[in-house]
Amino acid sequence: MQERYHRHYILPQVGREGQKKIQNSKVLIVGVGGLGCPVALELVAAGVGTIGLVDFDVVEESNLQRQILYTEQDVGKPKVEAAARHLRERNSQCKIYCINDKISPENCVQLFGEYDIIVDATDNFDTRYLISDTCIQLRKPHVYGAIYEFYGQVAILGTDGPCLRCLSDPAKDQRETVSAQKIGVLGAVPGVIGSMQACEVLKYIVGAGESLEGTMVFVNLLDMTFDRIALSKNPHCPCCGKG
Amino acid sequence: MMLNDRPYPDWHEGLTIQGVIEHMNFTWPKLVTKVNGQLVWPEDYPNVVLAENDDLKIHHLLAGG
Repeated sequence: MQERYHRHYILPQVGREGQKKIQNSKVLIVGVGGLGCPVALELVAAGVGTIGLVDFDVVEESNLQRQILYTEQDVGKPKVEAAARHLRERNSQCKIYCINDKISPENCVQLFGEYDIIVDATDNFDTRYLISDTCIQLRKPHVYGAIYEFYGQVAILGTDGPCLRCLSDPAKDQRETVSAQKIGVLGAVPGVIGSMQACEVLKYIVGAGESLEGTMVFVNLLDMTFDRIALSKNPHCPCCGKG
Repeated sequence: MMLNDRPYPDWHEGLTIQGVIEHMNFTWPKLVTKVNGQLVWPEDYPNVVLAENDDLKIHHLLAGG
């Protein structure tokens, strides 16, 4: 299996030392849907040693258009179990743990505590705020990814901040957002954004290049344009600021 | 003034970020905004007055996955 990671070994920013770091790392992927599938595929292929998958849903036929881990035979099965089976076939060296449950204030601190990096591949703000708050509490990196139609965004929040509440505090703006079930999305969009999240995870692990820590990238795949905003801790933030 | 890489035709003296949001009918919550590359916190939208040559970007914060 020495040849398996040859293209990493010859990459100056990774090398054998970097690959060891990747194999010793533990990454939790919260949500194994449109974003979580490409994130998991990329990280397993790259040789991440331990991956936790969190999802409470079952595979539906309408998922197959963009949730690229699943096959027609998986419809009706729990996502984490189907995903783990496919991932183990791709890399038997990777330990895959399934959490067929919702994350909640009761379980997330213990769960997140077992991993180095938390990937947010969820589909609603309530869960995203819970992930953000817990990552600040535990000082874990929060690899944020989100999509809508032809658009997406990626950032690394968490550790010491800024956090999601810095950008928008739900206590100050309680207007409803559109639910994930009601929005359209081009099938390839979560693949792009999920792969960007995976890339940021791997860069973070090996310390390569300019990380998206404290920066959000906005991707418009309809016009194929990118924008980025440097974030900072909001002094009004009730979580990581002084608010 | 530019808004999301396009000329904004309704600039006037005293125009604020909040004024642009209301005029352009950004009705969804959770916006991420920068002026000339600098992030502006939501709390400051009513207070930041835009100059005629400012470059304003307004993005929606997304949650879909």
